[in-house]
Amino acid sequence: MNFSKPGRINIREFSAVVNSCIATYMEVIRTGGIQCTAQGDNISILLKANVCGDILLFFEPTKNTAHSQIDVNELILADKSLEQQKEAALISFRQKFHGLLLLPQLIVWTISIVLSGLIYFNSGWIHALVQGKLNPIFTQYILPILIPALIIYFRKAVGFGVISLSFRLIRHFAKS
Amino acid sequence: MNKLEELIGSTIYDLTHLEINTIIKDEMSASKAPASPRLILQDLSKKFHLKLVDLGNFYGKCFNFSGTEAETLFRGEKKYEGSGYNSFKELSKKAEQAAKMLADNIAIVSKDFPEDTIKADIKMFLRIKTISDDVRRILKIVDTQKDEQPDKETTYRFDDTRTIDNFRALRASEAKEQELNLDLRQLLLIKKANDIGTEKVVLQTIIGIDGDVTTRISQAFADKPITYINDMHHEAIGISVKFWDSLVNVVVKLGENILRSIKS
Repeated sequence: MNFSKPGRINIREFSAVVNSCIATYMEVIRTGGIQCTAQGDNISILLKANVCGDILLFFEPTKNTAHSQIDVNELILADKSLEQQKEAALISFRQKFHGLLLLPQLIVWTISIVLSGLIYFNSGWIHALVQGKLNPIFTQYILPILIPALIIYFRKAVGFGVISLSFRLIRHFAKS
Repeated sequence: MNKLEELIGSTIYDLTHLEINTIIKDEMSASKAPASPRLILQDLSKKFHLKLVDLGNFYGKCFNFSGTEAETLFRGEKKYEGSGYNSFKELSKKAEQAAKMLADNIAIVSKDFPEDTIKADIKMFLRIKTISDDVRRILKIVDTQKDEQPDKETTYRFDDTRTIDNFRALRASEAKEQELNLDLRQLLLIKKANDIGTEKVVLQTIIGIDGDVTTRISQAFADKPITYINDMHHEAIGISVKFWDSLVNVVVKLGENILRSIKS
């Protein structure tokens, strides 16, 4: 979010940004994506995007005349209002994309807060795990069976390349 | 488990690849794309049907066909005109046959039309086949409006245009029961297929998260490029990549926060 003065929150700007984000998400829920149109005199440019970031760009003649690609070029060159409309459409399109980032950012903030809390309250055993100081029964008996079992079960998803990594891990825990 | 792996794999592919397509439409579209998946598929089915008929009329004279004969050259006899499984199966089959027919008779057809045009139309037929097959796979899983009988072909109600006409007139609450229950990925697929339809894509750029960039340019556009369209395509790539970059940074921040928490 960009604010007029760094460090100060302008309520009007903040609410404008929030409204823009909400409108973007409403559009996504309703249509499955975002779109903006630049309506020129001869040519209309339609920008469509989905939530994954894929974009479709359509150049469409506003006048229903048969044309070849050369005519499209002539229509574009003869269109006096297209450039201005295009710039406005691009600004709106960029804003909508920016608005789409709000939800992932909110999710990350929430996960960070929750994980920070979990890590804080479980710091003891996490440090032990990282340093390799674990119950010998776990490292000597359970881990050597657990890791290969997980690999075999998920072999198609992760590939057999992970086997060498897992054997290195087992050796590390067994030595410690 | 296999279906889950396929779903995860294809979703990961969608998220790790960006695709930017630039299309020049032949004519202005009169109506807005529908929101209902059923109606989107009906639109798509109609576009494919009309394209097969148009191309039949286009190439008909090479085979001394005209009128109805030319229309049915590639489309063939219409058994299904709806948007159910069997309708798309028929479109897929006809498109495949059309592609083969055009390829086998290229020597005859090339007397009247340039080879580039013929090859582009063969690719169009193959596109219709591929998308129809994708739609069929989805419908086989999600379409509940079907009558399965032992020892008989399953009938899908939406293969009948009257079902679609009735569906259009239903209230939202009633239509919901007959609506397709698609996940996000399936919905994006059919929306994209309908948006592109049978239009010619002049520029396509695919960017992978591993850094691979593939750009495809249609022969006609490469021969006579339009700078304005090129620049817009470039602009769209910039917007898309920036969005991706921001999304990745959001995920990286999560990792940084976790590591910072562990360190402290």
